[in-house]
Amino acid sequence: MVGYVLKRILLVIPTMFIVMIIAFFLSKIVPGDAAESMLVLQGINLDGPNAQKEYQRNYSFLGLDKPTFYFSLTPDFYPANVNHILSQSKRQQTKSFLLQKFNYKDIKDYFELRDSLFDQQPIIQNDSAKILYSNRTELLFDTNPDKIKKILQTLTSDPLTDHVDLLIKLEKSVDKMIMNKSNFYYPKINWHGFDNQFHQWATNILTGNFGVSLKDGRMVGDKISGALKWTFLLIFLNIFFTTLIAVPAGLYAGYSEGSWFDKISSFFWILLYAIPVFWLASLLIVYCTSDQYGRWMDLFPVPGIWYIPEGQSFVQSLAHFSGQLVLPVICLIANDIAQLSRITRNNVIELKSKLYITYARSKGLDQWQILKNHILPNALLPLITVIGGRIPAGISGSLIIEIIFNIPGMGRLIYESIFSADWNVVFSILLVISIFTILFMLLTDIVYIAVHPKIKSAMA
Amino acid sequence: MKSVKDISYKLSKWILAIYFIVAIMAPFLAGDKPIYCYENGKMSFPMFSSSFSDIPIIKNYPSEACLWPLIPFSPTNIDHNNQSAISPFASGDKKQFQLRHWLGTDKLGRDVAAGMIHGTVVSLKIGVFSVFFTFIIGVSLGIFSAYYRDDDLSITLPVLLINTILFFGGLYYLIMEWIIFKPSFLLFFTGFVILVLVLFFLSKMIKNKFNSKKYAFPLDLLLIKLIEIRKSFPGIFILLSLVSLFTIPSLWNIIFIISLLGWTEFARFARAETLAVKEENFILNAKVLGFNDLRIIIHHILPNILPTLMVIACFSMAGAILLESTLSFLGIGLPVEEVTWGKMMAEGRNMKAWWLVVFPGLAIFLLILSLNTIASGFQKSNVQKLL
Repeated sequence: MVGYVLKRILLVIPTMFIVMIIAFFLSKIVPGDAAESMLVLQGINLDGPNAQKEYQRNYSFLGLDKPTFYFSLTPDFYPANVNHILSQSKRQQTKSFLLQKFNYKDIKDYFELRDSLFDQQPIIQNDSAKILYSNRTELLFDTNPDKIKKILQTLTSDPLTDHVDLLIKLEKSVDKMIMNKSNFYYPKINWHGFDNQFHQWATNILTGNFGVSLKDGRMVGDKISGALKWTFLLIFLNIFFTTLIAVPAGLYAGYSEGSWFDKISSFFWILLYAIPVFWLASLLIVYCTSDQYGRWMDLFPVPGIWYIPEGQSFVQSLAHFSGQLVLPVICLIANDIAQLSRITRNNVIELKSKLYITYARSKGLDQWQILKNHILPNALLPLITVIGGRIPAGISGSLIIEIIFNIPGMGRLIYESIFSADWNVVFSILLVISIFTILFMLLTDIVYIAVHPKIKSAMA
Repeated sequence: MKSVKDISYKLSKWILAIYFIVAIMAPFLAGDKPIYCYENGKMSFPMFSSSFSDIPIIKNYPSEACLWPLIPFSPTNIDHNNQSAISPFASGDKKQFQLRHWLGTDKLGRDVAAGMIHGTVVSLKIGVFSVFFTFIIGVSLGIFSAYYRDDDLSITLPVLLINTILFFGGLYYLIMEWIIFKPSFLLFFTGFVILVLVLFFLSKMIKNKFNSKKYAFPLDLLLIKLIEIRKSFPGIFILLSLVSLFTIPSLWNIIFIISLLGWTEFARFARAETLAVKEENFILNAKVLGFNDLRIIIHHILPNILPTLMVIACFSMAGAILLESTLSFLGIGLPVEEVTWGKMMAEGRNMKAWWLVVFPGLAIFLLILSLNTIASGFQKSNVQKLL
């Protein structure tokens, strides 16, 4: 048995690695630029004079100039690592050129010539030269080769233009780019070694460093651990109350199969199971939090804003907001009670027809002894898996409740972070929750094996 | 005597049918253009002709001469006289009976009844299409992995090498050409299907050409690992993060993501059922008769596991509809102009307007309830068939 548990624990590691890879690559394909968000966070004007320099500093500080993964599989005309271009506009333009299947070497030549052209200040004699100069700056933004050539031709044909030789060279480099276009290519494997973004990110996360929130500059780890408490509290309350209500109800209904209690509760659970949680929450908020529909309907406090001051301990804030938790917990447990009590009931009914129960009955045991010694242990065992499985599902379930009732848990945090494009937080939460899910699944399995007599004896 | 369960099963079937009828007939039930007009001896069908689109207001058509949809508002039609959420009891132009808002209006003055009908279309679209895709992906993976297990799909090393190189090479070019350079999902998908078919027939052709040692291909293990990885991402969190990656919101994104995430249920059940059916005598007989694997799977295994899969289909359709309404309740994923049940409910919660909460919620509740009842009805009839 120890061997099985060890094997099960070891098998978790590759799964976690793959989960990390998935979370990382999802965080890489988000819209937007993390370095730019950092600029906004630092309060630097994006059009200001030193924005470029600061951007590049942030860019390399965040390690975005490193290759993405241990290896990459690119077409042969690609550079080994596109990320190493520090300037944002140049990087985007290079990517856009590469998407048109132009060779990276030609693109580099083009950029070099363009830079040398813009290093030369033109002599502005009159207004028409000014217009020419503004035409020239269009080159800095365009990635359509035909359009670039058109601009270059109008510039060279104009007698006022200086540095005609450079312009002609530039045009030639564009021609070369179009000529060398790679319509046929083969995949090329680039090995980047350990100095890459994924490795950096993974080692940071394994040491507990999730990075900085792009919205308010706080550490993501702090934000998550603050939110995690509330989510775990909700899950604990959910499982506690669900078990407390559903298991006895299910046991009794199954034991007295066909009775009035059984019929009514079964019908009620079917209805309750189909109720969308957010509908129940909305109904309760609309009808039961104000005296608009009669004074006796004003049962619960209005879901308010949860302002938790810095330094207030968890217990203190819990005491302060305990009244606010009643309604969320009611909504949370609604579906779960229905599910759990139905499962318990069916278990009991199945057990009642077992031979050993008939035997116990024929032995002359009374009802209570049969229930306590024979039905209860066997009916409760499968519930370990069900309840254990409820924990990860409970994290999901608490998301919408947290959002509706303004509880500052993980669900609310991910929701707010999605709206403020704070991708660092979003994917860190996704990763943390996935890791918790994996661990809970592992724990459920181990507990199930540890307490299940059949499996235990089979393994021994 | 019929039991309560039989009656509720039949009733649920009827309710589901009504939902589908409403969704299919949606343009005729709610719209701001008359279906048919007979005016000055001329017949016209304003609903079907685009030239009338500039005069969508009811007053432009004499109501006696025209046949109107049941609710003469389109879901996006803004009624300026009845803005900021008018309750059903207090709303509408009392003089013109037809212009009443039977279920009230929302914040902008859009008719709730028309919105409900449009919401039915959205929900059922998502439910049906996502179940369709998850069914195809999950069932095929589940059946194949259970049929071949870990050691029945043996393959010689050269064939495996050729197949791997060709598959990943082909996939690489497909991704490069139609996802990176010229994004076109349709071309990519067609290319992928062609690639798989070519490889399938190629490996059949060259199967017996090599006489080297055979290795088992662990298809079942791969599927189980894949399901485990999928299960370690909790449902709505991964859904939210995936949906937020799309810059342009659309219905098809949600269908795509729900299919991507939801196939595991089908795979698990199809696998378990196939494992049970595989040991039956008629499968062994079919093998002895020399039928090929594909024929056995399609003609003998699939029909036998279909009843169980229908149960899962009902449950997962309910799940997909619930997910969509949760997403639109949160205001993520669907275009702004699309009116759905979830969005109406979110607005009702904020404005404390009961008609915006009760009616859409009741629609979701009834739909999910009837789907669940149908599923358990299927389950019961499956058990009865076995006995």
